[in-house]
Amino acid sequence: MSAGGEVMLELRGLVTTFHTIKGPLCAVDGVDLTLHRGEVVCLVGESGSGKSVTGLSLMRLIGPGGSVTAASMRFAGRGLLELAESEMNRLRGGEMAMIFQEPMTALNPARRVGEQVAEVLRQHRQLSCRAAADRAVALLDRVGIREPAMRARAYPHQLSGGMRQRVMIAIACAAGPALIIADEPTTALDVTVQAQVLDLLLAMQAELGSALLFITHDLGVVAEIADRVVVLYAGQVVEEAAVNDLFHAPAHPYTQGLLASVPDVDAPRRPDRRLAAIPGVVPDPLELPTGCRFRDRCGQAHGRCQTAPPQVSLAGGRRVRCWLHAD
Amino acid sequence: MRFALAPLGPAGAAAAAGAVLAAVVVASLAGPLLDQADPLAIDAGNLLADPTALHPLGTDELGRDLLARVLYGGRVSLAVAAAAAVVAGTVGVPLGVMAAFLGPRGETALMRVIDVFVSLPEIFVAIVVLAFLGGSLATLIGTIGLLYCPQFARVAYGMARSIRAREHVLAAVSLGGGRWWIIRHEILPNMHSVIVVQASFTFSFAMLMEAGLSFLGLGVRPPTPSWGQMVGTLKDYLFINAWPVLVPSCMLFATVLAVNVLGDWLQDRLNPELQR
Amino acid sequence: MPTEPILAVRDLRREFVVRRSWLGRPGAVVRAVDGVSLSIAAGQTLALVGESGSGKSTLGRCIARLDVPTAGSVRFDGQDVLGLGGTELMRFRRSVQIVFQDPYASLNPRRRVGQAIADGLVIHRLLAARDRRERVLELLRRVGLRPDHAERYPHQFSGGQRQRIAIARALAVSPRFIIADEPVSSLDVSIRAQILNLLAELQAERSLTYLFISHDLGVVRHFADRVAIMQSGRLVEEGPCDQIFADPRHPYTQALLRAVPRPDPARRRRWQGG
Repeated sequence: MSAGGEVMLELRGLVTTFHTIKGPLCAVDGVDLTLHRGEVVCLVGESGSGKSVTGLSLMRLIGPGGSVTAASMRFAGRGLLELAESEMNRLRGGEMAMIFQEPMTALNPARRVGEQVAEVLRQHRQLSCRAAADRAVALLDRVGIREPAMRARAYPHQLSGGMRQRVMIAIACAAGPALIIADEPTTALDVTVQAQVLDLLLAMQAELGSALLFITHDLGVVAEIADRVVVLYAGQVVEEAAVNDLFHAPAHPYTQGLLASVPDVDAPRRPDRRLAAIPGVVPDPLELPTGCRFRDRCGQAHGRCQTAPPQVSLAGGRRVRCWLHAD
Repeated sequence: MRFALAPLGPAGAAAAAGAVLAAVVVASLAGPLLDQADPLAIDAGNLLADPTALHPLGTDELGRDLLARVLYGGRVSLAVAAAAAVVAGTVGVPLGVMAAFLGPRGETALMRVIDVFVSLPEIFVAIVVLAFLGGSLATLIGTIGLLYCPQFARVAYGMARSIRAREHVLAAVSLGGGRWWIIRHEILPNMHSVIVVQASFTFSFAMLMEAGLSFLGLGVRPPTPSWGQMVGTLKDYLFINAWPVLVPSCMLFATVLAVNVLGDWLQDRLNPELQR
Repeated sequence: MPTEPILAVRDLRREFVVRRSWLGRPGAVVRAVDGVSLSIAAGQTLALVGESGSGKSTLGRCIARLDVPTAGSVRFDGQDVLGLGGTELMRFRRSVQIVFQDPYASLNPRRRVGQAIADGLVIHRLLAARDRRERVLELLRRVGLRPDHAERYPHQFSGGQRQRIAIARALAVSPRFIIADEPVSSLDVSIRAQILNLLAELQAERSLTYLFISHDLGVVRHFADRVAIMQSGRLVEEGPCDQIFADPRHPYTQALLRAVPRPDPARRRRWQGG
């Protein structure tokens, strides 16, 4: 929870490109990220921001159609890009775990859930079948599934969405990961279930002392759980700040626009019902504008924005990619 | 065989298949014009001969030029297969689409009837029908076509049902669209790809069925050649000269394989669009 | 309310049979909508809020006559909707339109955008061909798209643009009542505000009445006049928007409001230890 803990993940200059029929598509263009032990960092962005691709790149789960390069990508001091696939496999599911958005597709529909948890334990903790099965039931209990011994024998489709996501968390945490990457794990859930699953995820993370990289587009969730926030737009980091700083004094016009456009459930209705909307659409990644990628939609764009703005470091560990702060 | 083509990659295999199919079709259509030999002319001095300058692919058991017969027979085999596929589609697709719109009882009734037809062993039914009705080309095409129309209907039914559940169909209903509007504008245009793929498979089934029937003597009647018929007669001379029977066999094999590879490729190309 | 509400739903029930006995008799049923009554005054926005399985979408479809309820009545403008047929039904279809959640599924991928928008006009024979073209271009402009977009196919547009197209299509027949079924839930956060603003403007311009179905309480609070909360097919609470949000009575409403994450770290629900 505190910065100043040991650095678990250090990412500098991540570039992920996909080779499409229409040419190379740069989904992530120079992303830097640092995670400390016990910290919760939210990666925020909309479609086309590259947030999911960043998570997949970190786990080296990008398929043959794409290429991942970085100036440095280090997990607990080890360079990830240099590892052989077999070594990466040992890390995945063990020290580094990922939770996906759609548990129905992330879980094997043809295997019982208890078995899927136990498999992680057998692979990464070298437990015997018996010990793994018992531990799996204990884990299902820990994640709040009632009657865990019985539920362990269920197939994914026999469980509700919230329960499936709990199973995903159990699988991710089974081997005690030092880094958990959660890619929109609660987006598909009802709001009451979402609250429970978030609570659970944070409790597990605190218990294990892991670093949590939580990818989402939901600013409410970010405000709930984040220590630090990294805002992505069109493949680049546009702002990074501690959560309080970001919400109370957003520096980048995109962040400001996002926060202004989200209606607050506690605020009484405005009679004119107008929301401050960001005009325009996210640029086509194959046809990015020169200079600042946000300038076509920015109310504060000016002459300098024709060239790409620099990343500026502000006080308190904040970063902004904007000319307005470059003085 | 498909694995042998695998190194080419799916697009490469499809291109090769397309080339083969195009060559066969063009040769069959244009060939008889280029090659002056008469497929029916008997050269009594040259029975079951190996290829020579005069007969580039040799002769059959009656001394007829094999090249000419294979090309002419190609016309017949291709035309029968294509026509049968068209019959199957023209009857099957409307049946299947209508079944999707009939309401639960009608739907069940129609689908069970189709199930009965699909479970029949086609070749036996074809033999019986052709034995009774005689072997004119029209009967042949009609029989084969109708035998494959239940499969077509089933595919069309499944597709129509799945499209019917989509939201743009609901939107059309809410705009006031009636059944015919929906079928015409919402369902059918979204079925093109499935129909094309099914037609390609039906084409190859029909070609093999016609070959089988002609092989048994029930399909295309001599002296009109068709590949299956040629295999049927030439097989008896296998131990005298193996070459003649190979000619129509290879043509059949190459064409059906090419159509199947193309159909597979089409299915992959067109399906992601479907899986929207 | 001195005037008759434009929409009045009484005791609506929609059951789905999940199991049949071996004789074909219904065994277990799911009550997707279990006796719901509500009414909406003309020009107002009623939000129907609920989580998945609450029955809100099913209720919306029954009202639009896209689904047949098992019991109950729906009256639109005083007329019994469920019994309509022929020209009366067509008139109802013109008056009541629906905008769906998924902008990718609600447009026919094989139909050009201009054709899709004109569909309602063609079906109801509302305008001559040339006037239809004019109308389509006018609608495209109104929803924030360009005239040359009429020749394109849906896959060439983004999610927000497709939703605009769906709105234009609904507006073409000049409806008086629009059921918006989670119209912004599938859209990017920055696009949601654009679409909500558009819907608000259209309502004022054309005196529309909205049934706004959503699970997003923040959006609902901002957009609706009245709110109705559904749980497991039943209506558990209903009232003016600000009142319900400021002072929720039913425990489910309270639970919902407690669970919504606020975009403000100062209002965190939970103490985060460590």
